[in-house]
Amino acid sequence: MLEVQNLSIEYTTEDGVLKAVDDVSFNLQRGESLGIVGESGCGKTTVAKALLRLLPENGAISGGRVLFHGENLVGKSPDHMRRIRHSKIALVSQSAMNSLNPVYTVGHQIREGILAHSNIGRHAAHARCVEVFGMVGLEEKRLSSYPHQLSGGMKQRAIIAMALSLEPDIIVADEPTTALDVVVQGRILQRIRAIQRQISTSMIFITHDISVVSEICERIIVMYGGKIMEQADSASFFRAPYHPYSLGLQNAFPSITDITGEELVSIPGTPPNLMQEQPGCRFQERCPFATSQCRSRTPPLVKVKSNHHAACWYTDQVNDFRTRARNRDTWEAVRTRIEQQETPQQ
Amino acid sequence: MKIRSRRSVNRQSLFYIFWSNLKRDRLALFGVILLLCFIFIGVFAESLAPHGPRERHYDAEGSIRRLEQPSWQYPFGTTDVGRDIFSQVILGTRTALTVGFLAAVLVTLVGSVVGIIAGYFGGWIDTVLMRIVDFFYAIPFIPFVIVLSAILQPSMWNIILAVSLLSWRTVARIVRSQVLSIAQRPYIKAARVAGAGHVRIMARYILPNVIPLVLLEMAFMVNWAIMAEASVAFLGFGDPRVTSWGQILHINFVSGYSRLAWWWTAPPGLAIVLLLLSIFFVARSLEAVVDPRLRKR
Amino acid sequence: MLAYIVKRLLIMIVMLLLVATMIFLMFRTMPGDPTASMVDPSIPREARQALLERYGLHESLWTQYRIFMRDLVQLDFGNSYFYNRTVLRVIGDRLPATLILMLTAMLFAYTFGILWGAWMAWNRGSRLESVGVTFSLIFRSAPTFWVGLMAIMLFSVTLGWFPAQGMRTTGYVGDSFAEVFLNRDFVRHLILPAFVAGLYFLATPLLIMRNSMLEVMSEDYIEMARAKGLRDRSVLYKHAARNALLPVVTAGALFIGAAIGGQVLIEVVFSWPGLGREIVQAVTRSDYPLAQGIFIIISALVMFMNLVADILYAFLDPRIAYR
Repeated sequence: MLEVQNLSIEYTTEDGVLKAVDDVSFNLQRGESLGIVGESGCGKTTVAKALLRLLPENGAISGGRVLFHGENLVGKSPDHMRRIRHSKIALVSQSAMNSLNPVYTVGHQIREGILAHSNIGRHAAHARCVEVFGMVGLEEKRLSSYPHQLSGGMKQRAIIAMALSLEPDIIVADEPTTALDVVVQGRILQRIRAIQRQISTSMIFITHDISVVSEICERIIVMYGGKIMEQADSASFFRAPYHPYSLGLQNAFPSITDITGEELVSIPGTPPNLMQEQPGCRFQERCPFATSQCRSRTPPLVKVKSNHHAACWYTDQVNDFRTRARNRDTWEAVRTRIEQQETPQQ
Repeated sequence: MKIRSRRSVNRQSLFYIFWSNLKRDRLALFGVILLLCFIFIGVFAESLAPHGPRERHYDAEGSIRRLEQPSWQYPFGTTDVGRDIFSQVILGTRTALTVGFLAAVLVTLVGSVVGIIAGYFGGWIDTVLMRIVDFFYAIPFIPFVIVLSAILQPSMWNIILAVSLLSWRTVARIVRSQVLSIAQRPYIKAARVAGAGHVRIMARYILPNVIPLVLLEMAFMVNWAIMAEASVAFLGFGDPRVTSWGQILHINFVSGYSRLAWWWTAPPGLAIVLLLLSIFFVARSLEAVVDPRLRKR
Repeated sequence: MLAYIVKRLLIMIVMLLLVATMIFLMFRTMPGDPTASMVDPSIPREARQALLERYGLHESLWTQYRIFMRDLVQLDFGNSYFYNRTVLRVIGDRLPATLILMLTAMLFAYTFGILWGAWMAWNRGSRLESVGVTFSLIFRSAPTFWVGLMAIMLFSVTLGWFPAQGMRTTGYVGDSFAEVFLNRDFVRHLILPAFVAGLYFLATPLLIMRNSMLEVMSEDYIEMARAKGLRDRSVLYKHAARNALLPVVTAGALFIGAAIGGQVLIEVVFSWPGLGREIVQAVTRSDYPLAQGIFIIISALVMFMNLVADILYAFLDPRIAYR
């Protein structure tokens, strides 16, 4: 249904051109739910915005295609794009707290979205609002509330209801739960999952929290520095990830389902500066297993199993990596290496 | 010790930001240069003006040079009684700057003191002071200045007084809200705990932090005062002994020649526009220093 | 809501009494002959003494103040020497002219300023934006009376498009309100002063609207509105502009006091027979009761419009709770 091919996106800033997304390809089937995971600044939100062509003024798609039902959305007229938004591809945005306009009632804002794409009349639109509110578990009377009268969780559910209102083909959910506390977060995730199955819409779920993906996504893409590091079926991925970055991410987040009391280890260092064109693997600086090959040549995304790809030169040594990645000292060594590199420059 | 050193660094960098802004912001540079020109003209007005403001000029035959169009001899032409408009405009510069700066200093002084006291002490002191501010907001500015200058003798000082009486409220309000946020900062609390007196805290810790904002407000107040003086003088309530741009326009209007003698009407007005614009551009670049959010734009 | 308005009205009355007290003290403590404020100085000495006693000016300041306040509460502002009529009647004659000119100019300035300001922010960096900013800065720096003089010189004297002064052609006398204000002659007279006043008012809503729009446009709900597939125009005016309007209303309320000042100057320049021109003439003619009365009425006008702005704000922003 959705096919993203070699998508590249650049931001023009005062200091130069920033390549936020570099050669990203993936596809999405009907009813499928895909998780895109990565640290902030890895390009995951940019990908989401590009799908809706809602990039900020200084951002532009510099290459690639986004095929939606076979039509390339890149280069479609603004009006055409406007009609696809919300009715075909809906957004559940990052900050539910601020995504509702404070001066209109919630019901008004949902109805407005419906009426912008269909001429079913106000009554039918209102009925639809009541219906979607029911789906997300909000009372009908809340439709006439202003955003400031709702709690954070309620606002988030209202936003989800809004996205559902036109039964879109794809829902793009950009960190929909980060602003909420853990308990509410869990409830909302379950609800999203249930609704998505019920109406068999596809979903792209963007998050920095890998454990969230394990809960609700069938497939996963791990992004780093604007590139895809690993792409796989969730089951396969969580059983046995291939990329060293994925191994690091797994260490960094506790699983919601499985609390074993293991110590969390974060990946030392910071994401790369995307202003500088750099050869080699984007992750090599922070990778415990990097070699000179990693520093000079960019690894391609290679198939490691059926429905499982990783961009690493050493996928054949993955068993060794997995063992070593579980050891805290492996990552401490990276920290020491980075610190040593930084010291002489100061 | 630590606080002190940080403060001086802060101040230096503020000046630096203003300076580097000047290099990037052409309008601000234009404003600074223009303002310096005006100040130069104002300071040396008497030497620069070729004639006295009231001096009447006669031609070779001995008749008054009435309403002559601009020429090399009289760059802005002459009035209906043969006075040189160019000299009047030059001398008016000094009046505008004097009134503008004196009133602005007075207004910012009073306004800052009230604002700092209200914001620092809070409670009933704040309530009372802010009620007074509200009261002064309710008084219509120009009518008040007219009535006041009619009751008192018409003089430049009374205009400065009238402008100051009504304008400090704006500064007080802005400074107060700034102080309210500063008073919450940890080092103020630390100073209080360490036993520093109220006056000391206000003068040493709060004042330095509101100074950039106060300077900015002062720039706006200079404009406001110049405009007010011109308006009052235009209405005929100005000091008759002092040449000012508003007064030139007053005589121009009352004489009825404001409909014909464009060379008489245009220059004083243009002078006001240029002076206010130059101060405005400087203020805008100051604003970028005071409000870091604006720097990005 | 009603309780809020009543409370505000009460505060307004207290404020007005304070303003009246201030103006009373200003006139009574003025240097020279304080009685000049109540009695026409040009009349003979004996008559004057009689008048002084009639008005109670030989009484103590406190007694005078009580009489002044008592009359004021009954809307008795005394008599105008110049017109030989009650001050209230003179004000009644002049008030409609002032209100019509001011409201026309404000309507023009706010409609145009808000729409253009919103448009400027939406098209940030465009040519029309920089033209707009420069334009409004120039008109903010230009004295409104001077702009008026230049406009008369250009549009009335040189081009002959509009009459230069007054509210109607000389000799025209209308009996009813409709005859006086609802005809072409009046509108022709209104256009130029309203335009000049509008230019003076314009900078405030225009610049504030632009800045506030720029701030609002980075809000998440604007992106959400676009993600909903709303039309640009709908996002711009219904979502962005609607929210950006709030600071414009606040600033508008604070601006009203200054706007009245501009109004005075414009009335003088265009010989517009309103309250502003009347107060200038009253002060010039030492017609102090009239000046006093107009001052209080203008203060009331400023306070009332402030109140209207606050109520408008409460309507525009559902987050405001009436206190």
